[in-house]
Amino acid sequence: MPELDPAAQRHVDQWLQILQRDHPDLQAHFSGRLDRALALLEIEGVDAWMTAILDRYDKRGLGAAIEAIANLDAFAEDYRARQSGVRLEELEPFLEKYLTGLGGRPLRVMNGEHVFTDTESIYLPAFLNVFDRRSDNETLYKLTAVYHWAQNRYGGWRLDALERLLQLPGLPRALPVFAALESLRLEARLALYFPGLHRELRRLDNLDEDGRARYLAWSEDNRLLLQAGAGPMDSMDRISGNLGKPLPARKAYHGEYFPETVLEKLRERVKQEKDKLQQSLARLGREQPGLVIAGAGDPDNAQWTVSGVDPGVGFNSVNQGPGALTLLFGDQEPVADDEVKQLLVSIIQDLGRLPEDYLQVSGGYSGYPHTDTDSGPGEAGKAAAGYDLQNPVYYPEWDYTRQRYRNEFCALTEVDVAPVEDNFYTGTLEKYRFHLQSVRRSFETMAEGYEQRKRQTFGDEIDFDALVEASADRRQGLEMSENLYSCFHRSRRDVAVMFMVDMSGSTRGWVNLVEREALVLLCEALEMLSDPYAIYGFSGRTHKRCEIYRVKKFEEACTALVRARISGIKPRTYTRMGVAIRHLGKYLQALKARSRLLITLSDGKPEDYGGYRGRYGMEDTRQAIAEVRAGGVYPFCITIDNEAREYLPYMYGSANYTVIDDVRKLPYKVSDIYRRLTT
Amino acid sequence: MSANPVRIEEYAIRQEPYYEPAGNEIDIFEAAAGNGLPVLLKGPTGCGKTRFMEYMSWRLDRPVITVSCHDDLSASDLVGRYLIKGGETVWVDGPLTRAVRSGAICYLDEIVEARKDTTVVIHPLCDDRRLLPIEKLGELLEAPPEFCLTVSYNPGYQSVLKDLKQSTRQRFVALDFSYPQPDREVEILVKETGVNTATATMLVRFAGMTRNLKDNGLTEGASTRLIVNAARLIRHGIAPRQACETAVNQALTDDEEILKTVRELCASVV
Repeated sequence: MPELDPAAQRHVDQWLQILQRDHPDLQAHFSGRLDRALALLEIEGVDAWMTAILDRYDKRGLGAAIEAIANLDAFAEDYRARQSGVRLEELEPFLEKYLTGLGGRPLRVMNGEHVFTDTESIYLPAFLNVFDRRSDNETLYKLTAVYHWAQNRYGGWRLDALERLLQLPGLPRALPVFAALESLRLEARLALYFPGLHRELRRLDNLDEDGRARYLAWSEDNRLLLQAGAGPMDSMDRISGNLGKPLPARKAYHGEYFPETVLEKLRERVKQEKDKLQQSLARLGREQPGLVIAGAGDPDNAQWTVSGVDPGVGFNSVNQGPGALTLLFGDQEPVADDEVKQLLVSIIQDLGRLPEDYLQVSGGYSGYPHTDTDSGPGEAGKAAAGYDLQNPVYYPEWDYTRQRYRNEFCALTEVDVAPVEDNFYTGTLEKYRFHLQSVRRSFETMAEGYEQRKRQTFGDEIDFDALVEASADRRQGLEMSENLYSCFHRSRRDVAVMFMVDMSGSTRGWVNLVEREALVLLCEALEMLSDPYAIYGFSGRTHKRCEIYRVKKFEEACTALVRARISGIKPRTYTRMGVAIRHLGKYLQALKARSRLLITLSDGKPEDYGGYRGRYGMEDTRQAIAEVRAGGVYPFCITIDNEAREYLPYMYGSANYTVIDDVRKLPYKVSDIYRRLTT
Repeated sequence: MSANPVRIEEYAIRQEPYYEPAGNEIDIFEAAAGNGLPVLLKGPTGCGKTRFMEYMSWRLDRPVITVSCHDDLSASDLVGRYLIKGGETVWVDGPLTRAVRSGAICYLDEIVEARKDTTVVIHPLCDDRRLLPIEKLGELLEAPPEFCLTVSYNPGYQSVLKDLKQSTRQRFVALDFSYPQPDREVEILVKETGVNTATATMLVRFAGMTRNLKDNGLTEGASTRLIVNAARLIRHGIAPRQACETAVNQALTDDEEILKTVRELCASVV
């Protein structure tokens, strides 16, 4: 046995005693392998090995435990891998944020069988254990993600280059050469813009001396690719000259190329994004009243220009983000619209430039996504006639095609959500108990605000202003005021909030679950603040059957019944939003609170049978929002629809919504959003 | 009787402040000031709104009285109050009254932070009346043509309590500020702090990356002010990564997970 320090020796003695107590044979076999175990593993590792042996002994008997002792080498290998290895799921949120920070089209990080990018996601292995140190394996994940981000960012997957690549004769031979040439170009670009990253790329390339020398030789032969202005076509031009040469070894962060998969994604996106851009520009033209007044003419036909695009690099070389781009309408002031700029970034990444016709918005674009049912309520709505409603309340609906209301058009009924007695509420509290602790802490600080009240008849301190005024009055022969003190009062927040929960059929599954979980956490948080709050669901099918589901009224406490109703929130039918906003807004307007909030939790656009889709539904919702806003209600929308940036600014205003990119994060985010909104 | 502790001349900006125009904001401000129109500066924190005001004050040769609004700032704080001096009550003008009397620029920074009762005194000053009622003195001050009211506001705040009401905002000529374009921001850093172009470029690139994280973990990205601070530390001999950590990263967030991302982004360029 190797010489051990006293502490380690005590550990060993303890193990032997334990094993002796359980079974002398176990101790004998263990002692026989102890030297090797200490050679292979640190004390903590041997401790884990012994725990595994005892576990085997308890569950499967002596034979299995002895077998576990014999398999020490396998255990040690596995143990070391677990110690130094990293799972993708541990790093996924960090990697996505990091890539977002680097700029360009947002990319998702996903687990895949092969390491590659399809230009929308980067696929990485579920587990990495290439290096001995865990931190190096973490860095390798990051570098692999960055390398594939660079393929997207620096034109490696530009449409023209990709089409040319796929037309090359003998693609299977040409592709690895293209990949090697691209690696020279991309790494030179990373070295130029990200010197810190480049140092890490060099440190962890996992190449031996021969491999490095070969790369150096390739770099010498293809120096042009190392220049800042080099593009994918330059790599393409060099394929034939390098065919047949021994390829340099792949570096640890290099992945694979699947050009056919990328082409499919790219063609689809190019078409979609052109449409989206032109719709957004038409919308922006309409939303910039100053621009129209300035005599720029018809916003649909005005000239848009974009500056900040460097043809060589694609983007301004200083900044990698959409901030580098300036969007101009005629010769007016720059238009700040992050969503449009992000779209431009994505288009430039795909095409390497911004084609002129992309900015020529024809008069035909309304600025709203088109649907085949844009013509307002039609025959389908009538088909739902004959619904028997008990005491419905009628509301008007805004018909943009007529530019007037359809009076008493929507029949709305209000019913209680059927309570479900289960352990959903307590289960959610348990599931989010750690998160809830921090929510409670942050809400406590909101609840405990104090304000100084002046000119009181009694209090903690003299109100000097009041005293001075009173002295002035006395000198003028007037009567002195008695209100000469100031005191601290617990501040009243005076905020009332209504949560309007989307119960349409599309929330079935995950969305419904996280909506309910989010409500549970909100209830717990709001109970601490004493802000009056109510929760209602909405759904419906056609204007003849609009439904509001009561979960909690303002005057109701968060009782067991309310909790059971939260559990009972189920997906129903469609999303006719306008009428729900008008109805619930009315409740809020009746409250005497200084700030009244109507927060919608939603998963998509307004949509219902009978033409309530596309522009019609959006216009009515926008109108309903304007109505309640005029009544002193502040509408806000929390959505999980990633497309929402296209339409929510139009309905709610640019600062009045939040998109949660991952549905699972809703319960974590919603209390934080509420806190931000009301402090 | 009145007693004003600081002479109005002391608010004058005598040396030309460094300011890089982004568009035609200087012309617009001059036109607004010339026509007695109040101005609203919109934009994120640290993008150059206050510097713009200092520059305009110098350019128009009018003193600028800046009030940093906070949630305890009341109408009395702006208009003025009585103080006791030598056994007598003495009226002291507030900053707004002083600006009106002397035809200066009054700049109310982050107006939404102030108490709502401040709008009572701002509104009549912002329309064609251009009047300031001083209730305690029983006086109605008419603003001279040189007086100019400017307020600033960050529209990025998603708070019901910090929204500017339509009745207030529709009295102003609005100038939209955002972070400078990257090349211009590099130039600003070089001129403002004396760092070399390479360091300035690195800081601007880093700031751009943090701005990409807005609403994606960060409420705001790094402002020009933050990277100017970092550049000053670097110029003083602090190592760039340490300078960014103290001047930018720690100022942006306390969230450990986001801080890790911001640090890694910093390390990628520094």
